[in-house]
Amino acid sequence: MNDEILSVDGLHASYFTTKGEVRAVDGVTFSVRRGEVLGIAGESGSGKSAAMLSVMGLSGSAGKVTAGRITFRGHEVTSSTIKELRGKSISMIFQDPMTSLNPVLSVGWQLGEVLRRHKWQGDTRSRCVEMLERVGIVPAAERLGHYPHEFSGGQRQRIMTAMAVICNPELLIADEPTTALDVTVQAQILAMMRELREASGMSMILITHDLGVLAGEADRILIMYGGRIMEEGTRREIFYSTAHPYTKGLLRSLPNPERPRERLTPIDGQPPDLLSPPKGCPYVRRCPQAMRICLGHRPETFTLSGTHKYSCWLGVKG
Amino acid sequence: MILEVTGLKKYFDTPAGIVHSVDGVSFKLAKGETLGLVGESGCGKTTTGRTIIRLYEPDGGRIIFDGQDITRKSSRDMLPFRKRMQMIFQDPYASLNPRMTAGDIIREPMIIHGLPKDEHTDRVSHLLRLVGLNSEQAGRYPHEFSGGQRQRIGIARALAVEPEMIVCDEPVSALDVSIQAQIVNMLEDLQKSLGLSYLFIAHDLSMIRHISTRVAVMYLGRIVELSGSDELYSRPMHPYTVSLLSAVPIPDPDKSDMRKLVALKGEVPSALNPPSGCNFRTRCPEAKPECSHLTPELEDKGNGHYCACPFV
Amino acid sequence: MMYDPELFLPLNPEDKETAETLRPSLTYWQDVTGRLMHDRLAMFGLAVIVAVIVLAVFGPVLSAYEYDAQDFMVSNEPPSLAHWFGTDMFGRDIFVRVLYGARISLSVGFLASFISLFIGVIYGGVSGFSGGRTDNIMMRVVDVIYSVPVMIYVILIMVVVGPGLKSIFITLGISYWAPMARIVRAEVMRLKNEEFILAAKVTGASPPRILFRHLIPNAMGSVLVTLTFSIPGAIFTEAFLSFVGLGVSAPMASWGVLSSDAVGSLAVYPWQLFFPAGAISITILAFNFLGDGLRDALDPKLRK
Repeated sequence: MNDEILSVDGLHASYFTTKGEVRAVDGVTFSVRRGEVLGIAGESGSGKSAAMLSVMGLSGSAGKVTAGRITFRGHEVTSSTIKELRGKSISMIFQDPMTSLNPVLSVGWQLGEVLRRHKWQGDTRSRCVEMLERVGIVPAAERLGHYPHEFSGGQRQRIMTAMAVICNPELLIADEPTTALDVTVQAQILAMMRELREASGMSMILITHDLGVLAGEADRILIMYGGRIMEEGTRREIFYSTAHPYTKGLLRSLPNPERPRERLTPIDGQPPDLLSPPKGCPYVRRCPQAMRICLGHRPETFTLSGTHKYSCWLGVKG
Repeated sequence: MILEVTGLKKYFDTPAGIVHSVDGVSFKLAKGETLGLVGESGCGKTTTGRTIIRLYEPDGGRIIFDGQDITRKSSRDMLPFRKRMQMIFQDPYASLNPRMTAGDIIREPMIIHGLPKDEHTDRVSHLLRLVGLNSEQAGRYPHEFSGGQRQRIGIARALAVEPEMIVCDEPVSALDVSIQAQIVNMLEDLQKSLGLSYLFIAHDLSMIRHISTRVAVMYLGRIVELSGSDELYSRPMHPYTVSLLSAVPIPDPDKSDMRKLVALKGEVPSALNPPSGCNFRTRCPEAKPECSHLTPELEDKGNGHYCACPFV
Repeated sequence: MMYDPELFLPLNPEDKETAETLRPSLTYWQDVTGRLMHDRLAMFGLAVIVAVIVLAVFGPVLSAYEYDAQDFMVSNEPPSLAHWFGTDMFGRDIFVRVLYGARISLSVGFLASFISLFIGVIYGGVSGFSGGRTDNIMMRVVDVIYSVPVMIYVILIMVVVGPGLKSIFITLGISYWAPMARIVRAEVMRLKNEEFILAAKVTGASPPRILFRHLIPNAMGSVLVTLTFSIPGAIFTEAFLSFVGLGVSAPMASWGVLSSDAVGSLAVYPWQLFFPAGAISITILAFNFLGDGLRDALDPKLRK
């Protein structure tokens, strides 16, 4: 198991609001291997972003990791050690490239700042030029002096990516990196990220609600709902031997290009209420196969193959 | 035909210059039909919808609704048409007044159009049930509903005055995948039972394909291709449509690995000073020198398939 | 299996409903009040304000002394059991004069702010909603009104109306609505392109309906915060004007007049200044605590 670069074990994280505790992450266990792309899919409120922010120690003043153990390259990650890892060994990029860059500082300065903060040995400027070229911003030397507003949305996401990978991180966490972009630009950015990964061998966690993006990019996929992992498997296992009723429902609710006129099959009901989660399975109210046990008992995890697991009582029934 | 739009133009005067948001858009919408309007951000699809429904003053062209020219009607003369054409908005959080209850939101159009007062409460309950909510929820405020439920309230508001045509401006793109299908199914059911015509604006190509009878593809304020939806998706002609379709992620690993991406260079140019001639030429994989000085018009390529490129 | 097979029977639809939890319906303002109650500093401010108001209304009646009753036997006495805050050079009880002053200072504060609320909300609302040239002209008028110092207004008005409380009310009424109008205009400008306003337009709602039913109710949060901050501003302006001799005249007592009277003998009888000045400071601080709390409670970013 020494090819595991990051492992997260039994992570619980909550936000404390005036209305009570919001259990955003409710017992999440997974690991990322060297060089792989782990996709995390889920709808709003599934806890996919909250889990990653907790790993990065970025969940803010109202958020708190209440239980769990995070290890990076075999060393336990604590609130003090994460500060050294962040930006250097583990980087993160966010959905909105418009607000992630400081508008009053030049792009070159902001790139250089990352290097200075992590005491880069070598020529800062040439490294910045090199990175901008690698993310496709040319002529790089000239554009270093430009300010964020002089770039388009797609270019800004390229710059954010350059900032994230400038210190050669071993793990890049991308939280909905292309959601705000158009499809043609999304395709460009995904291709660029793929090239960066192939050149450096870094691992990546790709968080998205778009199953289509994961079908193209991810090696393994986690499906999250209500703060828990519902199903985990390789991309083929998730799409072709789908086990969990939620994953099935999710895939079925997409329009089928083979039968464009066919009526869609939605998942009934509303997203889960994280303020008062059910005792059993978070999906019980919407699940067409719900059983009595699902109401009060938290589902166990059932293993289908070395890589394929799911949390559902249907696993007991056989 | 319930709607005929010819040569519609809408320009915005900004400090940086004139933005050519909609630059000569023409199409027809038949009764009971769904026309999909698709394109990337900044292509002018939302502005087109809003200009048609007269939220913006058109700068050129004509809008004919059910045989009557509404292009220059004053707001007083527009009032009877406001009853007949309605709109559903993108953001279920911003499209409902947070200080009004669901019931008041749905009731407001009835008050404005002078429906008999004693019928209001019954009609609000009826509409709430029609969109899959229950009438006890009328007294609740928007923030107490989930995104999908809010979008249902927005739809009930649009239906309150029994419109004939609805402009749906990205009605599902802000919703979760599992909820999108609920709303799309409901829109389809309502269309059948109430005989509605939809102008369905979206950037999600697979959803547009599912819901539309015909699809118009927009790029930088112009329609570059318009055709029956199955025809368009199986035989795209315009180079822009071809690359757009090739970039759509496919939720199927094998097909995703097999598809060939027709990559476009760069991003959409600014509508402040769009390229001369064919405004797609700066990104077109098949651009020729002459593209800079010809203005492509939508031509019938047979089978009701219109394309604004002379080289296909 | 270790589980009871009964548990694996399909779940009845009714049982699914029981899993659904209904939270009590809260209106926006109930929500805001709930959050405000959690803010200790704001609640402290509110308590102080209520206490000052109660004292101002009932205090003078319950006191054994009249605010203008002179008694030269006890002039310039330090605080004692008989005169809690001491007496001034005419032997008047400073405690009752401070309470009486609270009546004048608070009513100036509230009245001026409510005039500003009324004019400012409507003016700013119309200006922001109209936009374009109308907005431009209306806002230049605000700029002009705002750019003239309060002192000039008060002197000019005093020439016409004569000195006293009336001219202070008129002055504050004329000058205080300008910031409110700007705030409301900015809010309306921000809100008027929101989709729910577009929805109202698509429905055919008339401009007054859009303004009063949709825009202004949604701007009320900022209006309330501005109001809470403008009341202490008005109290302070009145105190300042009275202090420099442009306000109410003897034997009436506002906090500004009391402070002004006491300055001359500050070195000998400091308590004569400390009590009215303290009243001004505590009241203004209390309003600022409440305003800060309100702003935080209304902040949509905290809404979940």
